[in-house]
Amino acid sequence: MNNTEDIWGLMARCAFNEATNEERDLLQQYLHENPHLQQQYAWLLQILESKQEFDSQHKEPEIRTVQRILEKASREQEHNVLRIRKIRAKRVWAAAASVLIIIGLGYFLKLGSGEREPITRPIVTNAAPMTDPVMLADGSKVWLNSDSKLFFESDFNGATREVRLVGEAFFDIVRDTLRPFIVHVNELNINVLGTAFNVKSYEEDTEIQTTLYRGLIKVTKDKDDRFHPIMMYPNQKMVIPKKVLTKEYISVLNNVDVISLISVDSTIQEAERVETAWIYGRIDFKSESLEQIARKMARRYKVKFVFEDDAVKQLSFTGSFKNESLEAALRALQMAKPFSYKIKADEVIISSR
Amino acid sequence: MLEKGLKVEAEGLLKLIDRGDEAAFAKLYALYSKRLTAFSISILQSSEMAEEVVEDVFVKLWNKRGSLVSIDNISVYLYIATKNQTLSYLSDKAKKLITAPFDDLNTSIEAIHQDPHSLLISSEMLARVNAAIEALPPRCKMIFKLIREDGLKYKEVAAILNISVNTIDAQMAIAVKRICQAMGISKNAIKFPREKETL
Repeated sequence: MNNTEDIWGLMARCAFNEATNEERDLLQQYLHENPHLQQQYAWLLQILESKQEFDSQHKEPEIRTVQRILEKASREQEHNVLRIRKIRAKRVWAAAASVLIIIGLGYFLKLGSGEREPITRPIVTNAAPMTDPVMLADGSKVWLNSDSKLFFESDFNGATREVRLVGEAFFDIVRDTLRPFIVHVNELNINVLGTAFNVKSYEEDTEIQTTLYRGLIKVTKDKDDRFHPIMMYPNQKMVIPKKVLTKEYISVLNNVDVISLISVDSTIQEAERVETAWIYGRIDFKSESLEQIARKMARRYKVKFVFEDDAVKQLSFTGSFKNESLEAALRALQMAKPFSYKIKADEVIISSR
Repeated sequence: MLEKGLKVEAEGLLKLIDRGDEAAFAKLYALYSKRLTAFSISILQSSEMAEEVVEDVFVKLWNKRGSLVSIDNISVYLYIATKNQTLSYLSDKAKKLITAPFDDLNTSIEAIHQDPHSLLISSEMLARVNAAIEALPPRCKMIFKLIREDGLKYKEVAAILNISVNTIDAQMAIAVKRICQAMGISKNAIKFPREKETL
């Protein structure tokens, strides 16, 4: 230590029992070489320790205050119990009422499969993913990838917070157990407790992918009791083939094999993960087929991919693009595995050779 | 220093409170209410609400009995609860205070009023020391107070004020420097030991 400023920190640490043994020895050395400092350090210690003792007021505890606190505590607890009861009662009535309305509607109209009308205008993205999240009325944040749409299916002041997603988005939802947050994707409902997760389901995708980062979500299916709800825990990724959700497949819905729950490597930082690379402007792919990669590239570069044969579609790659041009990206892929490409206007034609 | 004994006592009390012991609760209140009130006052800048804030902290603590055993440092827990409760009273100001932690605050520190003779320090010097403490920058003063008067450890204060231990260390160095200067310890007078290469 040759910085004179450090002596004050050292004295403070020694005086308040925060010093290491080495630091104590060092201070002793200073004091030894500076007898006048020794005197003054002794004064300092005396001054520092001569403080008002809080405990000197350790007289008879303020019985009355404590009594008041205890009374307030029991009032508050009763109040909470009442509030919960009230809310529960309200919900029962709300549920009963909605059943009545549905029955009523069913009686007079034929209940169509009709899409619910979005209340607010949807949020739509085009070529580029959003760099800043959309702030929803409840404070939740949603990042939308390119070519994605988010519809609002309930006003956020009501009993539920519901949105419908087409495309891909990352959700960071504010916890509110009294107003569940539901993301509708195709026929699936993702029921959310305060949580962060990524959902991907573009129209051309053959499967719905959900990756949970934090919290807990429950996935159910619209108007289908036979679909066994799926609970997802952090760092799990669920892949559901869309065809499973169609009528023909209803009988196999409980067959776990078709729905896969994959563990995501939680040691990878969120910013580095494949599922949410798009938030950071990256296209990441891990053992993905050229066909899958092409779909991601098509959205980014606003081009169409045409495959001249099936074999080339199955070539598998692992990698990541960020700012590369379309050509640079294709050339990089070519370096890994041989294929040829031609770019015509907004079409990329790919063949085995 | 915080009273290691006090801490041990508080931990024992917490276990009893967890089982609904009202006498233990009253004791814990007696141990902490003064210092928590002082802490709340230094954030509120007024003593009006502080007592109520602290009472509410204890209301919540009591209503959490049954799950109190998960608290591993009751001092830090109570200070943070007091901070949060105080800030929620200040709802509007709260956000500013969180981001600019206590830079405009005024912490009152009990002047040292022991008999100067017993300290071997002149009353004039004592007055200068008190003035130096009073004149510390607000955040520095709050940190100094929590460590000296409330007897908290550096890392406890760091947790309570949501700043790093290094910041605490630096602020304490400033405080001690000002006090020493007030006592007339001049920096130049300090001879540094010959540097040992091994150190």
